Amino acid sequence: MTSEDEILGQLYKSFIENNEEGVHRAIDKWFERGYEEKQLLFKLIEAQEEVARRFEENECFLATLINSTTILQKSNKLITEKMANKGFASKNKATVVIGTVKNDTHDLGKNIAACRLQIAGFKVVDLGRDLPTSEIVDATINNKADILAVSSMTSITMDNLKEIVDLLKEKGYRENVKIMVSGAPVTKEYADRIGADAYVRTASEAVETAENFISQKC
Amino acid sequence: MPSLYIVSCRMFEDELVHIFEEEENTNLLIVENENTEGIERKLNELSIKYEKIAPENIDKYPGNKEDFIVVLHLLEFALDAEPSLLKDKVYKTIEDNGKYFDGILVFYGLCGNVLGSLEEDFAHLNIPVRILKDAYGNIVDDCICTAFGNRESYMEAMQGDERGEGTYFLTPMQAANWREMLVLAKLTPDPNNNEMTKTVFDYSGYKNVGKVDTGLHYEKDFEDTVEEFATLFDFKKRNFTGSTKITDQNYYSIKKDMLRESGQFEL
Repeated sequence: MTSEDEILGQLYKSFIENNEEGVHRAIDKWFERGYEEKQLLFKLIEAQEEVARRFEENECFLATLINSTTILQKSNKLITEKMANKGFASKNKATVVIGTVKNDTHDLGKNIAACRLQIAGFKVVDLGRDLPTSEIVDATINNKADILAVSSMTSITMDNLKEIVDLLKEKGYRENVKIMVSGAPVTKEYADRIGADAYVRTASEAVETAENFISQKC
Repeated sequence: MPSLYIVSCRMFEDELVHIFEEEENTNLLIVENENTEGIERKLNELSIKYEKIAPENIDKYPGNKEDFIVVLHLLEFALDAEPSLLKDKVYKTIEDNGKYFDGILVFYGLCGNVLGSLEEDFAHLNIPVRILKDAYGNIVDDCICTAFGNRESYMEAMQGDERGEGTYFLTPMQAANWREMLVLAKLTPDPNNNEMTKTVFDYSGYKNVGKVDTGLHYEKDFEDTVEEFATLFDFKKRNFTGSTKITDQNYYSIKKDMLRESGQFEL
């Protein structure tokens, strides 16, 4: 019989190698044996963080990071379905609305963050990419979001982040929502200057910051 | 005559050649390194005179003292793929050599928002230190923004026909070096693996290639390369008119100010 460690090892190795089938096989085995899903999710996150580290440190290329993100998203969906089949309904910690600003189609980081926030137990409303400011603000209000996560990967589209903060103020919802901003040209100084609540650099930081927001609220 | 130190990304090779094609009474010195092959070829083709100078002799630049002296230091492509590395490299270059000159012009833009405070950071040199700006005084975002002439035109060009669609812009130099750029920007390890590159482009929403014609023709295969790029990745081709306005204006503006400061007047 395959032990828990062996399956987790298979999952990790397959994920690092961008082997989608291998990852899904490990997930199937895990559920067949009735193990607790928490460990599986931890391992999946660990593997994703390792691919992200390799990319940051020039040990792999964007194509690998993209493939791993797709695998992460599909795996998360598969695990959620299997848990639902077992009768587990996830309890959402808070609602996060997430998206990229107008004219910015670079959504890889946003997709990883959305998936990681979901795994961490947040209800994630992913609006997509290239979103007009009004659409982001309206979705934040309509979904009664506790947290808004927005990114801009280029300096030319970065001013949209300020527009979002300003429009939320104008519409009277700013006090109800915590805002985290991200993207290659974004800095903590910029986040402070435009009146956002936090700057995050990575998906892990996004999860950690979201958890902090919630604990502050309680 | 005063001396100007130009620190530039190799991507501005053509814009620099264009400036020196027009210039008279200027002594051009190029700092020897692995980034000068392209510009030397183009200068030679146009019989534009220049001398080469070893990096360790940068403080002893020769030249006719009657002429305006330009020492050109080219840095490698795609440093902006790692913004902190770009900043370190540009700053270190200026810190090491800036003190030997009467003015410094940096042919870079915000490039990932790391060079926005460059002018303030080198104010202590007490010489003009400038980075590329548009006619409104805004620092340009990058080399594509420079070709467009201002942020508004660039922003307008970025909008695809449909939402979520991106445009991959190619200036003549970007086009001539697109394969190398893909690797340097960490998109793919093999620029000839079109399938992998297409996967990355698809994921990022790129559906168009934007040909930005700066009016410079030092790269002879621009049109063909853009066509090839569009075909390889099944992109729609969009044509844009760019210019060398920003690079020209920034160069002539600092030159004029330096000449005035030194009591010389440009003819």
